[in-house]
Amino acid sequence: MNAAPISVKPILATGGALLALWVSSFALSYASLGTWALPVALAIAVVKAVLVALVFMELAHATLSMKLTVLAALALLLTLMALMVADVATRGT
Amino acid sequence: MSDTTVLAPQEHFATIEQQAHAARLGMWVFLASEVLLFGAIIALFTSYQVHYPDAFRQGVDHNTKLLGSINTGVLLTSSTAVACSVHALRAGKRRLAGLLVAATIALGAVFLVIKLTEYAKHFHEGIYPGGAGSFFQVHHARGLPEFWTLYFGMTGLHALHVTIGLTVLGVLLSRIMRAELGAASAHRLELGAIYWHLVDVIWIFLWPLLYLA
Repeated sequence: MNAAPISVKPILATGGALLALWVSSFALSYASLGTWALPVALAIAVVKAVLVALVFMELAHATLSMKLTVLAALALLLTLMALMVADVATRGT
Repeated sequence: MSDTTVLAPQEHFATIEQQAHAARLGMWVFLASEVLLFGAIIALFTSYQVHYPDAFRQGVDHNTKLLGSINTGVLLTSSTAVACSVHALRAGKRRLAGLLVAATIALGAVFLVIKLTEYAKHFHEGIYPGGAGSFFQVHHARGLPEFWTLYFGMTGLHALHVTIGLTVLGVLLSRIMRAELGAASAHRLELGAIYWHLVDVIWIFLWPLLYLA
């Protein structure tokens, strides 16, 4: 069973952090980052997604079975991404 | 307004906690399948982006960054509101929980209105899925039809999830207002909220891909 957080403060703090990261992403989109623009934007997206998953979706307090479910999905997703990158990188060689 | 109702579990569960745990696990398994669905589509998008970097750059530049960015803020705020509503319902504050769910629904509706406004702009410019429309008779860059087809596919599928989320939250709000949901059954609102957060997480990744970089 989930151990429900007692205070609402972590939720509000996370909401504030998400909005700060949202503003950062928007501002950085006007910076001349060249080929780094997409990796930087996606890195901020990963941080936001982790915050939502751990705090809002309460994955930090979830049981092992729920954490394993998410990890299995992420492992399969990373496998898919790795195979896709290998395909694209070696095509035509 | 507090809730002290004692909820009886379904007959195949020993306790309401066990039933809630099974429901949470079921929701996470479903969300894992959703992660794989959108992950595969994003992988497809990225693959085409590597092949047609200039066309995808043009597509992103043509998109309305301001509207897409406002929609991101709207969804992030709605996620915060629904997370607070779960907390409020667990604390027995049913009226506050109802107000926060209503606010979440309103923000979700704003998201859809902005998204439809963007679609209307694209259609007006002659941009349709599959490279159809007058826009593609003027703009011939290879990869542009792929960008806009994926754009409509990804945002359309996401908008469908938003609509389903709004329907689920609407049903939950109705049950909160009729006092059918309270502190003892807050896990039911929690399940709807977790789904809504996933809708938010998906958009968190679509936004930089389609509007920013």
